[in-house]
Amino acid sequence: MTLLMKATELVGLPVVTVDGGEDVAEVRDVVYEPEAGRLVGLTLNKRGFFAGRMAEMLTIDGVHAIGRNAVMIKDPSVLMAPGDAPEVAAQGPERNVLGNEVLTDGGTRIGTVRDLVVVVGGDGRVVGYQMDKDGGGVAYIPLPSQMAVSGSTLVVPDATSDFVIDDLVGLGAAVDEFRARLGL
Amino acid sequence: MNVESLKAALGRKVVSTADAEAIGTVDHVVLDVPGRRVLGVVLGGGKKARVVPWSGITGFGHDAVMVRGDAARPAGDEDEHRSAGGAFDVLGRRTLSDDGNELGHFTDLTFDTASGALVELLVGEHTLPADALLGVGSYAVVVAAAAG
Repeated sequence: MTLLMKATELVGLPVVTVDGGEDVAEVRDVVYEPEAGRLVGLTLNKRGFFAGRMAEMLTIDGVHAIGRNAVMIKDPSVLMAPGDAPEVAAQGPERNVLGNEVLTDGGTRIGTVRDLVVVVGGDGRVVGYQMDKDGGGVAYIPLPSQMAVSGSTLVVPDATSDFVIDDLVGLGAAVDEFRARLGL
Repeated sequence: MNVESLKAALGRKVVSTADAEAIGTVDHVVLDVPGRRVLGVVLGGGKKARVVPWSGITGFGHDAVMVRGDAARPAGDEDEHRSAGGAFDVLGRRTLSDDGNELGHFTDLTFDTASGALVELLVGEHTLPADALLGVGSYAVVVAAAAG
């Protein structure tokens, strides 16, 4: 079963070792590469009394699984020291697409991005956006694997308008159909 | 194979076969997580804890655990010290599948009284084979998702 989660729901999840059953960190923020439509990794906070930002980050390759209740890692050795982390991780807020306006390539504005929708249990693939519709209300749009994105705007294919879904459950099926239509 | 429940075994009296004296009760167990075995029982807790390794147990019975007279000794290796501190007290602990979903609380495990080999894990309403056990830590017990 494909489980979809909103990226902001990952924030605060404990990072737990499979072998040790220890909560070594918790998710501080999600690092996203919009052009590739995938998560690069997660920045981390310390757990418990000494809470605060952790220097190490967790790249998506180090993730064993992302579930509803925890991000699982094999053991703490997969946490990456700041010097070793991918460059994109250091760029931070510029990568943030939340709040971007969503334009179709025909030039129609359909809303603004509220959240990312991530396939949980997989490789950090982002399959859609949760969007505040211009007419009011919330909708989900499926994501082609590549798209144009700037600091303020996201350009999606015209066909996207046909695939605006009201609920997260319907998005999973819509993504496959949408990508098939685009020939991806 | 004689199968015993950990929940039932905790608190059971431990009796020396040398002088028939009760020397304590089963208060913790030492678990070998990768080996899926019970390595021994811990009498008492903390610094005063004594450990009876599996080889010192002559009979793991329903009414008493019989041990050789000289079998109880202070905690030795790191796992035994951690065990005496409650590190392997799995009952009631939060249980996560390795795909990151909570399965409920760890309710019991069963083991073969002859070898100490784990047989089954009981998590919430799930019964899992022993080899689903992946990790036991302060935050959670981790089990393999495929088995759930």
